Amino acid sequence: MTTFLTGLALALALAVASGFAEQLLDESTPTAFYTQYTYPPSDPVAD
Amino acid sequence: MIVRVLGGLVALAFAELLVLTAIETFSPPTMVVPTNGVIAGPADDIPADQAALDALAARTSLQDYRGDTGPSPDAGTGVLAEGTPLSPGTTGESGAALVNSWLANENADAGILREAQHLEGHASLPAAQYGVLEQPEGRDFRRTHNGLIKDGGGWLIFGAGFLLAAFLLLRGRVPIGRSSEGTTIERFDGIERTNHWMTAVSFLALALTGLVLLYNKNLLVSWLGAEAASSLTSACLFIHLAFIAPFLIGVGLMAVLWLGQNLPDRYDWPWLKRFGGMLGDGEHPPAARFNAGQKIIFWGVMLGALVEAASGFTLIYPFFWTDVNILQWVLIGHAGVGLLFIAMIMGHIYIGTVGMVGAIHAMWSGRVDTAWAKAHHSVWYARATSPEAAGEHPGSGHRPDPAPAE
Repeated sequence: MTTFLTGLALALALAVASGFAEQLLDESTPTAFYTQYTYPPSDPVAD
Repeated sequence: MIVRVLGGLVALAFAELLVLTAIETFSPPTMVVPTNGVIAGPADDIPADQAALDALAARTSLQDYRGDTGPSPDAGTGVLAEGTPLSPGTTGESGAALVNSWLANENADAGILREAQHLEGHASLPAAQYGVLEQPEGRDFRRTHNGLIKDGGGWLIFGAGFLLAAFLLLRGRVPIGRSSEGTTIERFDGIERTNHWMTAVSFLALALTGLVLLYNKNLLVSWLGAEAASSLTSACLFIHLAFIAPFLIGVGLMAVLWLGQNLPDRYDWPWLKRFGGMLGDGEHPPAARFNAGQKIIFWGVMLGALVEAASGFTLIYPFFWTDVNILQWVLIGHAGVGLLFIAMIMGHIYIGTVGMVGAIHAMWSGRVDTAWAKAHHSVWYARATSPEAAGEHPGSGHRPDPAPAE
């Protein structure tokens, strides 16, 4: 039982840490990695 | 006896699910007709009558994949109706004249006669993938995803559940085969067990969230409604990505701890030929620390994790190193291997819990009955209890101590 609970706790802790890291990585990653993009304000194609 | 009856009931439930899967697989394809803005909805919707709805349904059905549903309803009878001889015609033209008349229209008809083309060029949009204007490979991807993968998942998971439950009904639990000696021996130490459970919990989280992601559009939207399904799937995607780290760390640690002991040895083929002794009540074939069945699971996990990680990272960063066509098939591979993985682990969970008496203790407390060890892993037990093994890593086992069996 102890090792099961320890394993469960480790999995959850790593998942939470990973989730935070994912958020940080998302915010710092250049948008070119994703399909979202932004037009420069002077570009006539942009709405 | 009760366990067998329960197995029978579970087998019945899975059989019903298999019947539903069969109906879903072999029934004609359906298409969802859009109704937003056409029926009398909220105040900003434009209400319309039944004729408009019928026209929209007919228009939607024109988009059916002709390979599945046959010619378009608007298609007239072709020039070559079945049985048309080459030479006839109302004007008595010869076959050569008929062919020449076709060739005369060759350029005009070329556009509709040729296969759909992949159109790619340079767009004014900043991202390179927007240069792909038409990709007919997407239709093949959609058919595979909504056919083979969607239905295949049902067959695999319900089929595996049915087979395991039927095995329990017909065979019952695999007994130890000899009476308990009242002593135990350590089979897995604390690190091995903790790592196993960390990996197992992560796998379950990845599997369940992965199934939600796969079946969101085809099942969940119709069950829960678009809003609820969307929120659930969005949360499941975040959870799916979060559990990648503990799963891969766990699998990596398993490789470090157990890879050497999962290499093929001379006990494997005799073990496989007798199906591990699970079909009869006689003596089990000898096995080292891991028998051939466990080695199959080990290597399945190693390879499955490798494929899922590689395809998964490709999907997390789309277009980073490949285009939309490859990405589609990476998604198919990720889903397909994931479903196979789930079916394999269902078998692993079954045999480690219900399927075999005494097996769960190996991973729960780490100590197994010495009678169980002698019956199922006789080679490991003999090595572990030899005088040379005293004081070594628990992986090779300690001497049996007088601790009473749990």
